[in-house]
Amino acid sequence: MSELKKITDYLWEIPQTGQMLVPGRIYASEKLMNQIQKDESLKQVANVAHLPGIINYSLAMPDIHWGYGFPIGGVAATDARSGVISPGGVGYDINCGVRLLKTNLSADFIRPKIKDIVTTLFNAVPSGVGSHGAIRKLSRKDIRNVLVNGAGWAIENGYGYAQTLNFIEDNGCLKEADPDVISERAYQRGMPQLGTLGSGNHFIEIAEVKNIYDEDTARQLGLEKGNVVIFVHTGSRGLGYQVCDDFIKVTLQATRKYGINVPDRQLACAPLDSQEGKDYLGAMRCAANFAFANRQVISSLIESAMLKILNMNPYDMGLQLIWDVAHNIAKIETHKVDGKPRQVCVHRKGATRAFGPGSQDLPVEYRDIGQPVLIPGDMGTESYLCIGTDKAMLETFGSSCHGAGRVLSRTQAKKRSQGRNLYAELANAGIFVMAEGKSTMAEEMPDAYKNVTEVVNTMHLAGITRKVSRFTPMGVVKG
Amino acid sequence: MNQYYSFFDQTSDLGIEVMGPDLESLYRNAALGLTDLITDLKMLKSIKSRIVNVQAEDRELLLREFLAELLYLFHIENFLARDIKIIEISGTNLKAELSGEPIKIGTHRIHREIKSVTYHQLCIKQNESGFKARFVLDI
Repeated sequence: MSELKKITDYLWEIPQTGQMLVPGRIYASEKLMNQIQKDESLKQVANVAHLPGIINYSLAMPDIHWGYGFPIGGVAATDARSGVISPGGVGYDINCGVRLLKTNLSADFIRPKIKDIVTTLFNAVPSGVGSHGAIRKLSRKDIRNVLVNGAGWAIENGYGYAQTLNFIEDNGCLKEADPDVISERAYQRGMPQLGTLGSGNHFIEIAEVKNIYDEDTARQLGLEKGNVVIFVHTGSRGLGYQVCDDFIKVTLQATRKYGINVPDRQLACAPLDSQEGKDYLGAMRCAANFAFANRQVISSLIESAMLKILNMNPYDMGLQLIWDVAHNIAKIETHKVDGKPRQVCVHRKGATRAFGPGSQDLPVEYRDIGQPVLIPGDMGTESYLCIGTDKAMLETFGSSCHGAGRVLSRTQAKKRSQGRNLYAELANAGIFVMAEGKSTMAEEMPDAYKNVTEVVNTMHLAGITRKVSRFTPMGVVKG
Repeated sequence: MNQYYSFFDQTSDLGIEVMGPDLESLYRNAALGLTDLITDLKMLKSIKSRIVNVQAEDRELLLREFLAELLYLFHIENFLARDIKIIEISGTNLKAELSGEPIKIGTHRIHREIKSVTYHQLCIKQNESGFKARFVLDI
């Protein structure tokens, strides 16, 4: 790989060399770039630049780290007519994403009750490996409806309120989902898992609105300093993993069939206008809809559990969705390329859509401010809400970062955690944590992640997203 | 962890490096390494046996398919194998007998969820002492 060029204080370029079709561009401060260079993620940015039909740049956000195929934090737009779609550019956890709910509750009121609340949520929302049984057993017909209708299925079945749908990316349902291309194995894996958190880095977090940087925007979003908010981070569970697995096999064959050269098998892809490409898009949309429904059902389970333990009515608690983002997804969107509107397929692998003000894809309530971008940090520090900008539309196909990004591998984190009581350390910092997975606490320890503030500030100073609010954790349920 | 497989660092996920004097041992050790990441291998009992058959275009893809099949059995039936006997193996076909048990989540220690076996940097190399494979798991 050729030498990295510094473009601005927050933007770097990997020049186009060899078979790369475009250069690579990475948003990062100097400090973050020093960390990024320690793993193989920059090589992965260069690898993604080999995808046929890729437009402008192979992009990476400041939370970039070494993934498989695409780097995590990678964004690539391909031409919708002549380009390809790659299941590896979406990942196994299709539509893994985050939602943020606001409440009328003050942090001071909740703090003394946090252990009871976290325990209640831990019991109400199944978590951990193979978690299942959150709601009634779903039939194959039910699941088919989930795959086609997404979060709308949850609302129709009593899990939440209709107005919630306005505040989910794509109203919680990707159109043209094709349940006929979903394998029997994917159905089997999905049926028992709707309404479950899963494992790994998935979580429910109760946090306090600690700082507000943009009063007007925060007011429009209904964020009040000192109030409690709830983050939910999960995705499409086993159904999504199986869809990705099934379609990497399909696209490995398509890669050969259409004479495509990619430097990593995990970048297997198919032309968007081929049957293989269309089938993957239809299947991926099904899995994305499952994930939208999953986060909606979980929110409803959270609301019921909290109303019960706090002995409150829904109006007083005021649990309302601020926004729900997908951060592992591929979307057909229209963006300006060389000054002209063009249909492109935007792969966001560990990256969040960050549309600027005026976008018709935003609900009227947010159209003049821009899209909320949710950026959770690790469980011990802080998280942010930012807003997409016009510059994001020009430079990153309306995309931004999705989290802190790992800096330690899982084995390094385990080593670092030896002899430490992480639960006690977090409790001393006022954070009560319950985790299902036996290795989760060590692998997900705060030291394993980059400084989320540095990541968020990079995108703020680069002008891609604006900081609106900062949240500090009070209680966490980890999968 | 034993002398036949070790974990290598990969920032977001987890890599496994496996060794074996021949291909049979290599595939067997890879499967046991995968199981050991999910639960304590030595705590598993051989109560049930299963036969798995997988096909793929080359030996690397065959390894991935075999491991993906084991993960599928775990995800659908909670079945984990303690012993693995490779019955037949060619470059593109593998038949194995798995002995293990459908584990009870909550009773057995489950270390972590493994979403899938990826194709990233998947390789099998031969040297004087046998075979060595590397693969990355999505965690």
